[in-house]
Amino acid sequence: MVKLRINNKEIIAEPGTSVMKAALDNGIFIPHFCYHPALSISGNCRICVVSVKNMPKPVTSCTTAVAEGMEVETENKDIAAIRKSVLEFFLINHPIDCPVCDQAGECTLQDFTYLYGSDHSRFSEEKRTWHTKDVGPLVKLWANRCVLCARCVRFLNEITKTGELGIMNRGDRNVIDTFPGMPVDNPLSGNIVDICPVGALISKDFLYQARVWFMDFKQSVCPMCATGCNITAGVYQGKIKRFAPTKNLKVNQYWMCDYGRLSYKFVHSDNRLTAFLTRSQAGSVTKTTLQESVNILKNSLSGDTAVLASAYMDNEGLTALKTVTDKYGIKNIGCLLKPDGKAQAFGGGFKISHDNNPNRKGFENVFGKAVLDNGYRQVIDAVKTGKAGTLYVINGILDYALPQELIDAAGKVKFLVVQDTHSSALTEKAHLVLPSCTYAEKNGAFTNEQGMEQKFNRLIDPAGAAEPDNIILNQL
Amino acid sequence: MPKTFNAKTMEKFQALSQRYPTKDALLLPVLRLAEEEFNGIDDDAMELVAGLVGVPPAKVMSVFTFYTHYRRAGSGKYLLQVCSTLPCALRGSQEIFEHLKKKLGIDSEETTKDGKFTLKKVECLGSCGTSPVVQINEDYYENLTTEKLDEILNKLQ
Ligand code: SF4
Ligand code: SF4
Ligand code: FES
Repeated sequence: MVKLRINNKEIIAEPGTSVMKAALDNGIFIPHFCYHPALSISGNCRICVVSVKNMPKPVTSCTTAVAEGMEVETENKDIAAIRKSVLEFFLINHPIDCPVCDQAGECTLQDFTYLYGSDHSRFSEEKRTWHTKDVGPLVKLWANRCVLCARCVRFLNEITKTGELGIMNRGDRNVIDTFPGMPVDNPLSGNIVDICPVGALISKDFLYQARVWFMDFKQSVCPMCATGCNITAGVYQGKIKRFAPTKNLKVNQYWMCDYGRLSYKFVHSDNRLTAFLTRSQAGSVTKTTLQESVNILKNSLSGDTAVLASAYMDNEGLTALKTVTDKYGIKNIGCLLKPDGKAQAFGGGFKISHDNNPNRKGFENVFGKAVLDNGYRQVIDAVKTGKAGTLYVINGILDYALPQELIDAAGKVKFLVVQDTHSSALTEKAHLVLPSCTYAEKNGAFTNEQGMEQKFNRLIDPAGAAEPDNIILNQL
Repeated sequence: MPKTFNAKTMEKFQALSQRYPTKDALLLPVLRLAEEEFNGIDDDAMELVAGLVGVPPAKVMSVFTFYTHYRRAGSGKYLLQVCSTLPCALRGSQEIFEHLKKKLGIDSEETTKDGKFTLKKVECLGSCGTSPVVQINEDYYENLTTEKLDEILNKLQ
């Protein structure tokens, strides 16, 4: 290990670590555009200069390795002057169109200019201008705003290994672009928006949706696969406006997939269930209450009830369900699973799981492997052969169509109860419908593929009268 | 239209690919091969090179557009590359460029209507000692004056 001092603070770092990383790891911030902890070092932006005692000139901290006894100063008059002139170069051709730029408020060019920049420009020539264009299904490029840090290029070379973007031309004519006809359309494309330090790469989905300073940010977990990416949700006026990954080196590093990124739309979809409903044998539907529904449910649960619970239920809901099935002596329990997809692995170890369920592990922990593997078949058979009096389905799987065999079989039971987030062919048949909260409307936890229990927070108010699964189940 | 190399160029490519330690390094000479075979490089040629070398087409494009010295597809019979870097500039390259511009009626990166000449301002040709320099196709013309240049152009058919 190497001992050094940064701003007079003693720091111990592994040999070979950059001064930048050593500082950041110890809570000392050094401005940077091009440095990113998950990408190779580029050293192109020059804003990260620091003074090192006994070195003749300031050095870029991202390209300088720590050394025994090194004494580093990250802020002083000389450094501020250098950063000021570096920023002056950046702003020569930059449009400074912050009023219409989506990055405003979370732009490091804004932030560093605020800290070190000049309050006026000495540049009186015409600015050179470039294209503003779509570079992929999710991403739009404002090339004039680009600081040529090459983070996007490195991400696409090193993490997705798809290499759709390049820096074209040379010198002051440098510009980011795609090869004609080859858009940035890989499954992780949205991450280049997050790592672009300025408003050059912008999410088309989030464009002009909300000023970031008016949004609330809350932590959650993506439910769309068993990886369980940690996410930061941006909420504005009660609606989720965007998801972005939260760093978690054990789970998702710095990334999330595009499918997960856009999955907040399922929470806000038009066919959410918002009321407790009963359906008479003749088919007429009446609105009812949580209390009334609980009473009806209590009277219809018994030893010959069959329960299908999905692996989209959180651990709280599953534990509450276990208490209920034990209490009523329910043996016929099965797991409703969203079908598997294809596992995908990327540079640096990021994975999209083949398992499209956020909580298969959690289900297994509560109900055991036998129920997880064979329960569904048993339940379907019991229902088909008329052995089940009541069928209680607790779904909540997002972006999913229930299996036709279940919909067909469900017609055979005397009493069908469906607890779900969205209306479906099954809720159309159910005698009792209970609207439940998605993960975004409650606190809870999923156990991911690696067996890590990850808590998520309530982001928004429930849709209508929807209640969390465990709140309903705890009353039975 | 997707392009392919002919057998002879393919042979050259095979030989080259043994010689370079990295794909990135191999890219430069393979672009030269494409330039020779197709008499200039267009998007299809870049795609071909990308496939052969094993790098993304955007990477090939960034390298190709970085260097002024590669021949673009559709260039005229004679490609006039006027060095515009400092030593040549100090010795009158701007005057030479303006002269050509006026004489041919085209700007940098443009081609005369008859397809005979393409004019191009380029970065250092590495012949500063004999500046100002113009490269016409594969040949260097050194210590130029506008008069000398006129003579040279007159001889070109
Ligand atoms: S587009 Fe953004 S990430 Fe890419 S080089 Fe420009 S500033 Fe950097
Ligand atoms: S990889 Fe899985 S958990 Fe991560 S964002 Fe995509 S769907 Fe969500
Ligand atoms: S962060 Fe060090 S040069 Fe860009």
